[in-house]
Amino acid sequence: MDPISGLMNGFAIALQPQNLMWAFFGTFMGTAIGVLPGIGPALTIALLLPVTVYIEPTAAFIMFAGIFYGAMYGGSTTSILLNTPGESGSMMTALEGNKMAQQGRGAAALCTAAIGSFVAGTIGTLGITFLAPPIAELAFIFRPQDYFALMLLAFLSVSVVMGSSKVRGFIALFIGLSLGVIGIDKQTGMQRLTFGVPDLMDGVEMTVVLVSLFAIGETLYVASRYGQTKPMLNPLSGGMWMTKEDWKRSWKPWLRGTLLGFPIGALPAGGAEIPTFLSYTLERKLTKHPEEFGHGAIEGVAGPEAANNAAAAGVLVPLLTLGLPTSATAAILLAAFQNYGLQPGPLLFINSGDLVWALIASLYVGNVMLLILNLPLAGLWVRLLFIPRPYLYAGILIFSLVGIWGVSNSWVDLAMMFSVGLLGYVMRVYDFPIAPVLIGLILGPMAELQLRRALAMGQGDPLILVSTPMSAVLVGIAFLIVLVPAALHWRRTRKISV
Amino acid sequence: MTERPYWIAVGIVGWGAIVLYKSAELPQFDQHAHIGPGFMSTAVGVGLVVLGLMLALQIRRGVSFEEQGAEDISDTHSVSYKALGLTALACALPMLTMPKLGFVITCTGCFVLIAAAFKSNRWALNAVLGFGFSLLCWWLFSKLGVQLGGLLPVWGK
Amino acid sequence: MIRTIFAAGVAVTLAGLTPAFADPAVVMAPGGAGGGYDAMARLPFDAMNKEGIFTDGATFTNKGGAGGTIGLTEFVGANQGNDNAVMAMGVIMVGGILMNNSPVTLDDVTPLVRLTNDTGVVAVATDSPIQNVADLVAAMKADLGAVAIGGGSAGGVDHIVMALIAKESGLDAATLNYIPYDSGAETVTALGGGALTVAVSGASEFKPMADAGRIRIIAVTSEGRVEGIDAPSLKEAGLNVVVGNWRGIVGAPGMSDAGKAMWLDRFAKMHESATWKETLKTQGWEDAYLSGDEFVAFLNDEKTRIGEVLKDAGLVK
Repeated sequence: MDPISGLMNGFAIALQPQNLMWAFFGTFMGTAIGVLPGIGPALTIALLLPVTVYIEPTAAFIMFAGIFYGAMYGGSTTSILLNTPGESGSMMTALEGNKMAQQGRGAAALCTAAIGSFVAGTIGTLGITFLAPPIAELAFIFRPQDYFALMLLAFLSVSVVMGSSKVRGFIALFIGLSLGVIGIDKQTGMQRLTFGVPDLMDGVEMTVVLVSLFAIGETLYVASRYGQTKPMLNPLSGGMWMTKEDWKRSWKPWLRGTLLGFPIGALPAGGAEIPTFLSYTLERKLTKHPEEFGHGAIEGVAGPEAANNAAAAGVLVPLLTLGLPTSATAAILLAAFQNYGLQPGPLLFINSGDLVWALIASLYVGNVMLLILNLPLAGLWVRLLFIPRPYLYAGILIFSLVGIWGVSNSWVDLAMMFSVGLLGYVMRVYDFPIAPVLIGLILGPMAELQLRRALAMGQGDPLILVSTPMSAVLVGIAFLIVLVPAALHWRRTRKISV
Repeated sequence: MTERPYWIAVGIVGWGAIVLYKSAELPQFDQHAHIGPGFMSTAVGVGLVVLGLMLALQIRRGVSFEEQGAEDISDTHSVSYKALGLTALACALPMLTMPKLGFVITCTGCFVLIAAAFKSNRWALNAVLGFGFSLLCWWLFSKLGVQLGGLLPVWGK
Repeated sequence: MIRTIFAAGVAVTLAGLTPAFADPAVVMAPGGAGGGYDAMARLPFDAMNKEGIFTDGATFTNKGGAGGTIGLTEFVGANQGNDNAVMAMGVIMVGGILMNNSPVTLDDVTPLVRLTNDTGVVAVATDSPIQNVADLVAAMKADLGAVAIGGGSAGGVDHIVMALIAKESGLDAATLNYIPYDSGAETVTALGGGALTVAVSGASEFKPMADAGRIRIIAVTSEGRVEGIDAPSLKEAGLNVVVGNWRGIVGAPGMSDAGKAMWLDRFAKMHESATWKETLKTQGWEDAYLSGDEFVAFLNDEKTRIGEVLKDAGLVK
């Protein structure tokens, strides 16, 4: 079946009234649960997986498509409004998004996130429809040195979120890196910095650090400086909608974010974080309003949010074409396929073409549904900020506890929540940037793993790191980005002194 | 007067030293990759110590630390240590009560403490609200399959 | 990313939908969602549910890492004397306990049944000059470090296969250039793309990719040949290496005799059922049912054998 007729068939199934209802239900549930801080898309889908035992495969996957994109989108809402990202993919969204919300432009930030998600999701789905096989080949082309070069590039995104002081930015990064080395070393099976605690053998749980640094740290900080005569800002003072200027500044970041997110998301070790880091860096470099970055630049919301959603769509490519689950969400979707006795992979399109095309069609439907659902809701979500502060922050803590305690039932994680929360407080008081901690924690272990793999394959020859065209180009770009501004700076200062 | 928070630098150097100390127990080199399990953590430890010392130097020179902005913050940035203590207590409470008293009671306590930190003094009302909200969360998420534990674990199950 | 897989692993079945009087089983899967232990935890319960053998449902916990020992530790800690708690396990856990010096071992749990076996396969890229096991051994003898070997966790069953191949060929197993991967998906793409010289994994994981012409299987690790795979066993190829990735179920520490009998009866019925036979077929697992005392004896033999292999290979001091 060629893509066009397959897709038409798929739409015929997906647009049946009861399937539309499932799509709506999925989108709604996905958004609702994804909104909660600490509870990201993978967990949302895992939670709703069991329901599918009772419904037929087509309806189930249509609902999944809704949950999938709904949860991806929902995660951005609390990032923007409350500075409490629930998953690592929406951390970069929080940086600028929350600043916009503080200026009363929360609705515009939510709109650009929603439309960006829609654009990225739709282009990503188009990619799945027409480009899946060639994109899936990327998985075979990428070698450890290519991954390492990509991560080197992503590390550069730290430099743009460093804040006012480089020393403090690097300290934040190294704190993240030091948390990242905790756990069993995968290459040798040796324990590193586990202090004999079994809960640490698997490493520090990223979600715990994310939620503690942002949600708990923020609660501590705001509580201690909460004035009864606070400047009462109307959360809607910046309007309910995006201005013409906002549109003009958003559409390019949406597209660029999508272009970064989709292929990287399709890589087995790609993930959603790297494209969001890269997208943020790129937008910051390209923007015509550099002075706004760090104070609520709309590009910094539009780009990463699109990248995040496009990466989510990218994950479906190796899953559907090769049967390879490359992320938590994909692993759970694979489990769902297997629940129905379906094996994703090259034969899936042949054996169960109707189902796959219905799934792909419902990805389009889910996307539209999400936009319809969320644009009017953007104004409503912003009204979250009208909840009396005592109850709003108490609620944030309780949801954080659901995310932290419910995932692992580990006392060590609760202790971690407290101590990392205090760390987040201190960092806010003394103006250390928060994001580098997570960038270090996420990228550090990945980069180390790929570096050691590449070197093992090259038997210790460092030249292997630039031995493929891709790695050479990426390392080259990374160097240029670091060296060129430094060289320009040097020349300028030299001229002045001469 | 410039605040000189040397203790931050000391903390960073101290953590770096712990990382270095623990890394020293691991092999630094490996036969094929040449980079062993201890290499990365040693590098990170060295980085932390160096950065901590640089920060100490900056503090000596009197670098200023400006607090970050956030919503709902009074313009004067005046600090209420009572509120900070209450919130910290709320965040520490789960460590003490979660395994024994369970999710609902723990969260009710957190709710009341946070509300108090935000200067809401209607304790009884907050306790009722907090209990209702926690119970609802517990029931809903347990139904969904999140393992939040029993209603009151100490009562055998 | 892998960490989030574990986080996501809270995937749980039916807790919200079972009738109020039901007493769902507590099931630990000591691996991430979608992996081998995960399937070994869930599928028997699916089969039992479908066949009406045990319909009270089950809550699954995924807790991966350290060869399954982290899940084991948590399972033993949380379920002392709980007749309703069982855990999936297998040969990788036996090795993982030794590798990690785990204070909690399989002596702490109540062995119930061995259910399946997954034969390992040794594979190369489709265009690799290595055509058979003899070529592989020759390449390893020529320059052991230049043969980049991919597979599961360090000291896991895949690593053991290669260590034994090296040992049988008179090479030092401790100097293998073994590169562990988190998932079969990563291993197979690295092998197919040419980053790895050779890789070892379960037949069920590699066979679809071999059928698709992405990789070429040169040997299987079972006693004899395996149906559907056109490759000799290592034994046929002249290396006395037989390793199976078997999996089974153990009960909570201190499980009562009544509880043990109840589970053995359930698994015996499930093993006979048509649904389970169908499951074995779709998953590509070999039936390796071994129950009660026979399984205990087998487990003890396996502990000794693997302990020796890991020591010979220099993986355990």
